[in-house]
Amino acid sequence: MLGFLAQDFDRGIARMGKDVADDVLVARAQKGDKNAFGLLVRKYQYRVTELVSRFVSDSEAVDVAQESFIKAWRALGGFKGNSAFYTWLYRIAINTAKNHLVARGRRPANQDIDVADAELYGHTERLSHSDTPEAILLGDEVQNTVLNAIQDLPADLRTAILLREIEGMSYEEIAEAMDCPIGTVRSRIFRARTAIEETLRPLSN
Amino acid sequence: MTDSTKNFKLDERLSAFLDGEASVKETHELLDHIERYPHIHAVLDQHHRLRARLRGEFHASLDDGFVGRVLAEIDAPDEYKSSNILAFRQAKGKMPKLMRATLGMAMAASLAAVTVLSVQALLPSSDGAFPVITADLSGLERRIDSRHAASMSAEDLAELNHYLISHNNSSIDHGLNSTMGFMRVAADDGSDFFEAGR
Repeated sequence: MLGFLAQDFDRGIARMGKDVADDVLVARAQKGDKNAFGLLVRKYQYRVTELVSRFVSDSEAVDVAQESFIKAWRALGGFKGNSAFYTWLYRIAINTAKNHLVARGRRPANQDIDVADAELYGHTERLSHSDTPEAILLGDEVQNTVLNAIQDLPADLRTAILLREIEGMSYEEIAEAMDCPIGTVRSRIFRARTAIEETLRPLSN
Repeated sequence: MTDSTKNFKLDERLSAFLDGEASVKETHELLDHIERYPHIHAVLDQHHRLRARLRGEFHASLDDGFVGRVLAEIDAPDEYKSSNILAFRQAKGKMPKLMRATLGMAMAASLAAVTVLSVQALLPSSDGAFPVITADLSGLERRIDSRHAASMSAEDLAELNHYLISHNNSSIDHGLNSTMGFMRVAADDGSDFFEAGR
């Protein structure tokens, strides 16, 4: 259901440019600010866990993700900012997952998934299959709710959120496409997310 | 500006911050704000969850304690680091089957040997009295005497005695009951006395 959204998002995220917040957080974390690193963990925990769960079982994915962040913290001093932080983090996560498989005597996937693939992992073969029927049903319900919520949004909010989440456009690009100030884009995206969240709340509870 | 307007503006700024679209100045301001008001983390988590759902990245097995566990791990002094969780699990899986079996058998054999020796040395005598193993604790050289362990070499007895005392002390140190209810170890002259018993 949301598969096409996820794939479009993968295409979109590859287009996203530099993340100001990441740069600031990384700079602070490199000076030893653990709270700043905590915000980076908070931000990427889902993405990293989802990424490594394509290599290892769901029950192992959280541990592998945790280990990836710990390794990232230890290696952070060596991060020069030549790539985006998440690209660097993905590389660590993939290596951690692969090492985990080798150590457990399991062979990593034949296909060599590199960082570029990681950013487009929606297109890669899923390597672990542990979705339970309940999880799939709930997932479908959530996905349908999200899709319906997006459909129900006023046109300007819907366009803004789709351009951001699906096309991966920056606020500036969206402002240009929608012919409005950046402040308006920021407001529309926020309001769209709030509306979607409202519809999801009963399911979360 | 009302509180709700303020909150709305803050949420909007947080939304932009999480998109990496806040300015550098604004980002620093927000970070300082988050540091001052840690409850904002809950709002951030809400934003992150929604993003994960929109992007099909939501992982149900991720619990609220994930970030805390990562921070606790990087905060822990080296000697307390559990790092890594995976290494321990991997090490367990790594040991060849044959080696595991051999190690298990060796441990079982050691335990059986100690048990047999202990029982032989500590069985009550024909007059019903419990045996007394005495050790000369005053000198460096340890001398063991036991009426019921005559067939054992002095070295073996010393080893056994040492093992039993250490084992018992270790159990008590760890808050466990004494493991030997009937053994008594005393110095030759009776002045230095150790009794293992419940």
